[in-house]
Order: sequence, then structure tokens, then C-alpha cells
Amino acid sequence: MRKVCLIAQKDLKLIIRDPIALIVYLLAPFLLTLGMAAISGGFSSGDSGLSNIPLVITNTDRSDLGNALVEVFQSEELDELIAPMLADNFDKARQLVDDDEAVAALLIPEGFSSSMLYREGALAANDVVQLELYFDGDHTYLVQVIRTIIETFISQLESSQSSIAVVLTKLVNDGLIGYEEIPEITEGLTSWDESAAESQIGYRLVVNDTEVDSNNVSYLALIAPSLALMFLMYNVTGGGVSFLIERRKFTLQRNLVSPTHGYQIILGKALGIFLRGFAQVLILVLTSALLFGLNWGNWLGVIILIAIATYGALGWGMLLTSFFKTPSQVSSAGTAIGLLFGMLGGGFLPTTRLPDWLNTLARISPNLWGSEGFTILAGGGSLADLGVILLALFIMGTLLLVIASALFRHNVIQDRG
Amino acid sequence: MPPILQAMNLVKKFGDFTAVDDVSFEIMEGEIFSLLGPNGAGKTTTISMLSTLLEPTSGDALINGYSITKEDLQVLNSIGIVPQEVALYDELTALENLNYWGKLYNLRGRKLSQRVKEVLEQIGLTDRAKDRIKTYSGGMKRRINIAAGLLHQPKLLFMDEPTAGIDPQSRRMILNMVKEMNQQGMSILYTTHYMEEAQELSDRVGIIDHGKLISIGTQDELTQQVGENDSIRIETDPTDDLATIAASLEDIDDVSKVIIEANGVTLLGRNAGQILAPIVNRATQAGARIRSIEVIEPNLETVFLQLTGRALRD
Ligand SMILES: Nc1ncnc2c1ncn2[C@@H]1O[C@H](COP(=O)(O)OP(=O)(O)O)[C@@H](O)[C@H]1O
Ligand SMILES: [Mg+2]
Repeated sequence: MRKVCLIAQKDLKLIIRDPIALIVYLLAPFLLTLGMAAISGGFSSGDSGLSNIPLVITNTDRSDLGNALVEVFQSEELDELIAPMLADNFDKARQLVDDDEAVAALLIPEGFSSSMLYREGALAANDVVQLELYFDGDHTYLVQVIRTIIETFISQLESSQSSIAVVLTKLVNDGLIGYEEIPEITEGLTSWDESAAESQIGYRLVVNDTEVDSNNVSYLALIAPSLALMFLMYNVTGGGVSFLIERRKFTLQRNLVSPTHGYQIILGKALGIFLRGFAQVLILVLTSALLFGLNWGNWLGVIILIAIATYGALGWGMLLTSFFKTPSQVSSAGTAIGLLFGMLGGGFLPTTRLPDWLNTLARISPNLWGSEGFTILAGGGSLADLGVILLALFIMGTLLLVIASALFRHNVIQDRG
Repeated sequence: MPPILQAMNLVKKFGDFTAVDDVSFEIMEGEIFSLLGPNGAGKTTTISMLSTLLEPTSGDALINGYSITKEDLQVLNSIGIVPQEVALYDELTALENLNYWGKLYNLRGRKLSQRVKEVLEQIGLTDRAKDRIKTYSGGMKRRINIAAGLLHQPKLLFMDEPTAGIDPQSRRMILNMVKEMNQQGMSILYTTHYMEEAQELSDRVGIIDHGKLISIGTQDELTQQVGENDSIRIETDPTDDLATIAASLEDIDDVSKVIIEANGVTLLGRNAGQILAPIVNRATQAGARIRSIEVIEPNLETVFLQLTGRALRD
């Protein structure tokens, strides 16, 4: 085991040492996430650049949260991305959208701040004050970006006690509430039922005056798991290539003529490939969660599912590597299988559009099992709900690795040609 | 002394092609044994079998008493290997490489750092140890390549053309190192296609060509096989018709063989001193524009010429 770790550790060190590999390694998942966001915008419009998205804001709230939201859009971090304008009434703002001067208009209505804070308090009886986002259908992707920012803002308010504390402190400092009111307010806050809160807060989307259900958003959420898994397949077959590169550079042979068992070398390299595949998908999942507020569900479940899916994919990667002689052969085969499995696993099309026999065939890919797992988790499932999926992926990985190891001894290790 | 290595009828076939053909030899403990032969002779294939990297098609070998086909781990613990190709991780430093290879040979902790330090001193690269291999010159890479094979102080070291294509200083350093290690008791199997290296280093030499071990013995034993023969090398103008010149020389008494080379011919024969005059006459008549003539005492090169009819280099 010591040598297995030694070999894996060496492989990871080699990745870290190679600046190009490292950039690709860290950046690829990030870019892929952005790509996914672009895809989820539906390719419907000709929008190309992701900068200076014109947004017109009408802030009639003029209180803390409303101002804070405006500040978010005006902040330096979003300087490049968003070009906010202010309009003092919402009709004017809407007109700007209709005239194509802005892609969307955001109304922060009067009473927004207090509505957010005193949900169960004095204002409970009143209608919940909602943000309103008005846009026409041409710029869905850009609007998606704006929505993501708003959703992130709201979800931070909802979930983070500390941000509530900040708001409360500010309210106190501004003399809007007294200290003595705080316990009452926080009690109200903590007693929210989360789902109730979700249904009450949030905001209204108005597309050309037709309302859209704000919870039925995310193509990103639909497509991200499949793409993440497809990415994993590429990545893992790419890792297999390092085996053949080591052979070409004769370091594999040198490993083999040390007093180390062949299986230790195979396991060591497999572990290295596993870790890098795992890390990359994790980066992707985290980026999409942080950047686009994508909800992957139960984190423990997500991490274990990534690990086991990586294991299944690793089996395929090693099998490919053991079949072929040159790095480029493995790469092209890896690309082909990655695409095929990606398609079968729903990376491009919903799998419901595929014929039944293809859906059955798709069971040999880690992608389909994996995306099903992610769907379960995103839908609120827990680790226990993944039982069959984890088992299937585990068996797949183990079976393929055993076959690959046998082929390895024969193809990669014995034959120097 | 008992043999540290005993190769018995080793054969390696790649498909129909026989790369190593029934090779048998022994290396005694404390000996430097060279396999001398041109490119493609089967030296690397032989070493690959002895180091268990390739399975012999038939035959076996005992190293330190262990069979290469049945007890590979014991064999691998007994030998060190300096592969023909520099086999190091370019992106790691020399120190990291040596630590990695040392650990693969089960060295740890104090012992490991001690040995790494020693071999770095031995190859004279202590001050470059923290640089990545990719910043090294060819000669320096070769030295690290050697060092990596020495860390675990093997009883028997395989060196596969360790001086191929490097600068004279690095080469000199490596040859001296080989002798030094041998003096400290290490047995060495050295392969080369340079006659001079085999001559300088070896206690015994095996001459290998087309996969066959065609002769084996000490240098004296080998040169005696050539008998009284000297070799006479005639360098001519590159545009001369060497075939005609060679034909004109073949029927001189005492000339036993004429070999055409790149820029001249080499003759094997007896009484070189007496036949020089007729050789020059005939060659000139045949149109040779002679640039130089050299009489060479019997050496490994002559032996190779005699046995194969070809020159070692090229
Ligand atoms: N894996 C292989 N497949 C086919 N032929 C090989 C293989 N390895 C070596 N050979 C052939 O075997 C012969 C001996 O090669 P090698 O042992 O490398 O020679 P040397 O080391 O003496 O230069 C060469 O003709 C070479 O082309
Ligand atoms: Mg060779």
C-alpha cells in the first residue's frame, strides 16, 4: 500500500508541476460550468459576450435590503458583468426593456426590506412584497445571469444567520429598531419553516407580462450532472494516457524493474487517476454551486456519488488504456467513448427521447447511473436512496479494473513495441 | 568465485524475428563483463530479459541464485539497472527522482537520505540536486540515470550503453565511476558498441551480433582468436571506386580478408610490415587516391571484423 500511495503521490505531483496541465486542470471545470450556463440559456439568442449586461433597476424600497441589492449590482466584482442603470419608476424601467435599452428591469418594491425581515411579525398579514424582474424573451441567457445573482442574494439572506445578524445590527445602528426588539425578531426568523419561506420570498418573473414560475428554472440543474459525468469520462481516459506516456519515456519500465509488484504499479497509477478525476468533478460541482447557486443536494451523498462514479469511469479508462498502444489512440478512443456515454447518459438529449434498447445499453456507462444518482440527490434524496446506483457503479468499476489489470500485464507491460 | 549471473540458452522472439538467439554466459562475482555489439545486436533485449521486464521465449538465467522466470522479486532486489534510455521524471527535481526511486527499492528515512546524498556526491551533482531534470544537460541526465540504479547498493549492476551520445567529460566520469564501483566489489554487466569502452573496462567480453553471442572470453583470449592477423586500414578519397580497389587487393598473399568501409577499406592479414608496399601499388593501380594507411594491432575491433566481416561502428 505504501508503494501504491508513493506512485499515486508522484503522479499528482507531476500534474502540479506541469503549468499547462495545472491550468487546464483547474480551469477546465470552471469553464465547463460557464459553458453549461451558456447551454442552459438555450442558445436561443445571439448574445455572445458575457459583459456589461444592461440592467435597469427601480428601487422604491429605499431601505437596507433594497439598497444592498442595488449595491450588489453596482459592486466592483460585477463591474464587468453588469451595467446597471437606475430608473425612478418601474414604467420607465419597463419601457427601457421594451426599447431594447436594457435586457431586464428589476423592481425592488416598497416594503421589500421589512417584508423580508418581519415575515412572521407585524407585517405577516400583508401580502409578501416580491421583487419583480421584467424581461422580454430574447435574452434568456443574460437574464439567467441576473437571476442567478438575485437568487444568490436572496438565498444568502434566507440561509445565513450571520447575514441576518448583519442586517439586524445595521437596523439597530440606523435607529430603525431598538435592541429590545431583536429577540422577538430573531425568534420569528428562526421559526420559519424553510419551504414556507421559499414559497413566500423569492420573486416574480414577468416575461412580456406573462408570469413564469420562478422555481421551474434551471436547465443548468438538469444538464450539469450529465456534463459533469461526461467530463469525468474524458478526464479519466486522459489519465490513462499517462500510463502510455510513462511507457514511452521508459519510466514505466524502470518502475517495473524495481522490486515492486505489477499490481502495485497499476493500483498506484489508478489511484492517481482516480484522485484527479474526483477532484476535478468536485471543483466543477463546487463552482456551479457557488457561482450559479446550483443545488446538488445532500453533500455527503454528492461526494460519495462522485467518488463511486469516478471509480466506475476509472474502470473504463483503464480498460481503454490496456487495449491501445499509443497515447493518441487512447485519446481518440476516450473521446469517442466519452461522447457516446455522454449521449447515453443524457448529456445532450433527455434520455426519454432515446429508444428503449439504447436506454438499456446505457446501463453500461457510468454516466446514466451517475446522472440518476445526481437527480435523486438534487430532488432531496439522501445517501440511502442511492443504494442500487452505488452498488452498480462499484461492480462496474471493479469488474472493469480486474479485466484491465489482466490485459495490462499482457499488453502494456510485457510488450515494449 | 561463484557466478553472480548465469544465463542459460536465452532466446527471445518477437513474432518470427529472433532478437536474442540462444545466449549463454556467466558473470563472476566482482567482474565487469561487457556485451559488445552493434546497434540491433540484441543487447537491450538480453538485459530486459535478465531484469525480468521481458519474458524469455525459452531459456532461463540465475542471478544471485534466483531464477529470472520464477523468482522475479528476489532477482530485482539483487540487481540495479541503468537503462539505455534516460528514465526519469523530467518535471521532478533530481532529489525528488532519487527519493522516489529509492523508496521503490524499499529505502526509507535516514538510510534513504544518506544514500541519496552519497550517490549525488559520487556523480558530482550535489549542487544541482534541487533543479528539475528537464533543466539538465544530456550528460547530467545520464549521471542521474546511473545514480538512480545505485541507491540500493545492488550486488550486480546492469548498465545498458550508459555513455551513448554524451560529451567526453561526462563519458570519462562515467567510465571512472564504473571502475570505482567495481573496485568496491560491485559486479557489472556493461553493454556498449564502443570497442574502446569494452577494452578499457572489461575483465571479460561477449561479442554479440544478430542476437548471437559469437565469442566470449578475456580480451587476450579473444584477440588470440584472430591469430597473427593485423588489420590495415586504408583511407581513400571518398569518390574512389572501393569495390574495384578491394578486388585488386584480395589476391595478395597474406591478405585474408578485405572489408569495404565508408571511406576506405580494411584488410586483415599477416606480416603487415612486408605487404604494405604491394598493397599501396595495387591500390593505386586500381585508382585509389590514398589519404592514409594505418596498421592496427589485433584488438576487439579486429576480432569483430574477423568474426562478422563487418565493422563494429556504423
Ligand atoms: N518489442 C520489440 N518488438 C519487435 N522487435 C524488437 C522489439 N524490441 C527489440 N526488437 C528488435 O530486436 C533487435 C535487437 O534489439 P535490441 O536488443 O534493442 O538491440 P541493441 O540493444 O543491441 O541495440 C532489433 O532488431 C530490434 O529492432
Ligand atoms: Mg540497446
